[in-house]
Amino acid sequence: MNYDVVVIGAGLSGLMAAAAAANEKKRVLVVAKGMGIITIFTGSIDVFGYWPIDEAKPITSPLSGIQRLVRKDSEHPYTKVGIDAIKKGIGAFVDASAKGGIQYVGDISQNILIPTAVGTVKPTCLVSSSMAGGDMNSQRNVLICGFSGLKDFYPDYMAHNISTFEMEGLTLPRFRARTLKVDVGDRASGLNCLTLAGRLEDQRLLREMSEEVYSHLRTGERVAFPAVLGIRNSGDIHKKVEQACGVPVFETPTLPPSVPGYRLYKALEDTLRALGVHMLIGYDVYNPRTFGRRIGEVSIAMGKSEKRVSGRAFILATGGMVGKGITGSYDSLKESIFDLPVAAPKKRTDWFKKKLFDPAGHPINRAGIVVDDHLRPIDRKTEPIYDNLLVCGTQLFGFDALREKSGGGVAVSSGYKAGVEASRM
Amino acid sequence: MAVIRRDIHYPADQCIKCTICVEHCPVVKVTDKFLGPKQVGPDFQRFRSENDAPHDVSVEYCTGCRICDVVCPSGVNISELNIRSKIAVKEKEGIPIRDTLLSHAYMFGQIASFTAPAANAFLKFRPFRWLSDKMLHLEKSLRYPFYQRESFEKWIRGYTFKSERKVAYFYGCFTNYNDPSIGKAVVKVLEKNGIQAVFPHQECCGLPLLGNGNVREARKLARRNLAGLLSAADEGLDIIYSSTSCGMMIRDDYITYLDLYEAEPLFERMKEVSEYLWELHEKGELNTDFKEVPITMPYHIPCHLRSLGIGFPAIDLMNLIPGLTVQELGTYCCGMAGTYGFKSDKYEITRAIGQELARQLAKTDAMYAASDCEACRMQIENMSSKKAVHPIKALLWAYGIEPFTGG
Repeated sequence: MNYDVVVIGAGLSGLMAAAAAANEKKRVLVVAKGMGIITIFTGSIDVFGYWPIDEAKPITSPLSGIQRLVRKDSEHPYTKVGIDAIKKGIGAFVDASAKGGIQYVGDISQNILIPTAVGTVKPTCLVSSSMAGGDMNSQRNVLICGFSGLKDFYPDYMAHNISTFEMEGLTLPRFRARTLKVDVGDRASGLNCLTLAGRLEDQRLLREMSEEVYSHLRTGERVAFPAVLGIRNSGDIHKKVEQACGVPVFETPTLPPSVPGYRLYKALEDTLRALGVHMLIGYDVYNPRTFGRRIGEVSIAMGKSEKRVSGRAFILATGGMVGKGITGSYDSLKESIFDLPVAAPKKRTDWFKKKLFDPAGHPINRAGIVVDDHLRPIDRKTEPIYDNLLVCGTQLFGFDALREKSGGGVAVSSGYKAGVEASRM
Repeated sequence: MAVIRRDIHYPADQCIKCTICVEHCPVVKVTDKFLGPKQVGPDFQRFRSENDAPHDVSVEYCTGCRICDVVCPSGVNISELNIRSKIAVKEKEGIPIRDTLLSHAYMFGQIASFTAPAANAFLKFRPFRWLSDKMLHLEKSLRYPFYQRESFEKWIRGYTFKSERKVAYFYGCFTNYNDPSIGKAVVKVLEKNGIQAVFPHQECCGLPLLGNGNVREARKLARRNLAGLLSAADEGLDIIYSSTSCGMMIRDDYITYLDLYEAEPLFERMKEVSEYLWELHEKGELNTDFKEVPITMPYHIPCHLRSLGIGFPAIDLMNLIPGLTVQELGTYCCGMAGTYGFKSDKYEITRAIGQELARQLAKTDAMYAASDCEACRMQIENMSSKKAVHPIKALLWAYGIEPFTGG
């Protein structure tokens, strides 16, 4: 099997890399051991939320924050990617998800603040249209609606916590909670969000739900739902519910199995299929064969049936320790496929701070693969280890996605850049 | 089958509870009756020991599509845990008569074939359908596949093509009794490539029995099949199959579920028919003297094809045909799930899962839609007005064996 660009990993950065290369008319394969975190994440793209990471106040403009960052931190992935590619990558993401049926809104120069299901507020940059109404910069009060029998979302819990949430410079609107009586079916162990979202594709049920919500509304309120407004048809369903309720309505991300990530994954999969990208999910990738400083081919296998895949360029987007792109023993870390060097704190005892929520973050979360400005992994002498291997996404060295709230932005921009670079090889 | 680390005693321990399997399970999206692959599989596995094996009865709603394996990033043998759980529940509670009837369809195939026109009329007969729904919970509104008077087994008695190059063909029950035209198509396409099909002694592959919890009977059939298949392998022959699930059963499940390790030599030999033909093409040996077939062909990838790990050779093959545009539908499961879709307590779930397939098919006004699996083809015709074909049909047209009359 011969391709121009072989993307290893089907997470957000891998899919963006594939889209970028396919848009340059390259023959692209995405091969992955399984699905990635994209299928269960919140669905919102965090570009740059906090920096320096121990700041209590979130960044207002991700673009300004990144402009400051690249002058000070030469190791951060955003510095390697460059502001031009960051902007283009975000544009490419909005295009690709729109082509797959989901409209993302937001601007790199302005963060929005959205409430979470546990009653905190977090900065994010791009959200789907069904979440955009939840911007906490607006003072419009919120009626949080839950569903009887839904086990993964508790409106009273959210309302209670958010009413005591403090963030410097932020005045929150008022929240109140309501558990809807509409019969969405129940079962002893509780409904999960995915099943409920499937159920809410039913027009009759949506109408009944909207009527009940409308009857509870007070003047000037907007409505928060858990992210259960349909699975594939969410844009339309969201519009219909807003029309029926007569006020802005927004979804709040929930625990896995959460729906917005799945929607996004499916949308990007559709876009890639339309671009002619081949996708093989469920295949281990191993045994790379090199020719000088070029990767020539890799083996892929599901079970015992091995195939060889050759490519002009390879993009490693296998994720960090959750995606098993990086695996570890007690005191060492290894990149699983090409055995690339992983930069990490030398001693195991330096991996974590004592407190779980230490504002400085855990050093291990910054571990990863060091790359040059073309996203090629480099050795100690800063020479590229291979000429046609690129790395993108979570496993890049030098950023703390959790504390910075930058995971989505790094994935999207480094994926885009890797795809463009690969298509030039 | 997804990569299962057999060196790990407890693959279930690899589970990190990410719920990615739940996210992609076709059943969880349409009903709350199924707890989901993670809970009934690796979660419950933590409570299972040799002496005490709790199972959740909702596992009966698992369709056995194995998509959970395909999407799991951690190498957990989720579908295996679930299928074993189903078997254990059946062993404890017994197999309902209805399931016994459905899983022995191959026996009825022989009788129904013999009495074909009458048998087909009977299968359509509304009072009979109503009664079998009431008494046996066999869904009455489902269209049953018809039986052909001349089974494929009978037809091949008249097959005389000879060649030095041979391949063994495992055709399966559906081709044998319900749609011999597929078998004939395979054989004629092989002939166009100078290859003779040989037919080892074969019976039902046993998957319906396994899927309904009857491991003993499945093993009996498997042993009978292995006798013929292993001697074909001994003679150095490849073995092709045109029914996706039969292939998966023989190549993978005979070892995984039936512990028939003697089947191991078959692994390299068993090839899906499109896989076999594509390999010929990669060696430069495929007859590519194709006529133009100017159609758009919507194509549904059967769930079991995803877990065979052979890529999507039917797409590659159909793409060789001038004028033909393959339109991969992006559907992961049609919902039929073999005998599952014939059960009236599962019928709503089958229909609900099939809505995505219906939606994708409705987007195109193509006349035909292709899929390698007979259950998927049945579902295509249940959920749309398209005529469902095996991808080999496109080759029949391309070789001019059958005239392409437009569509």
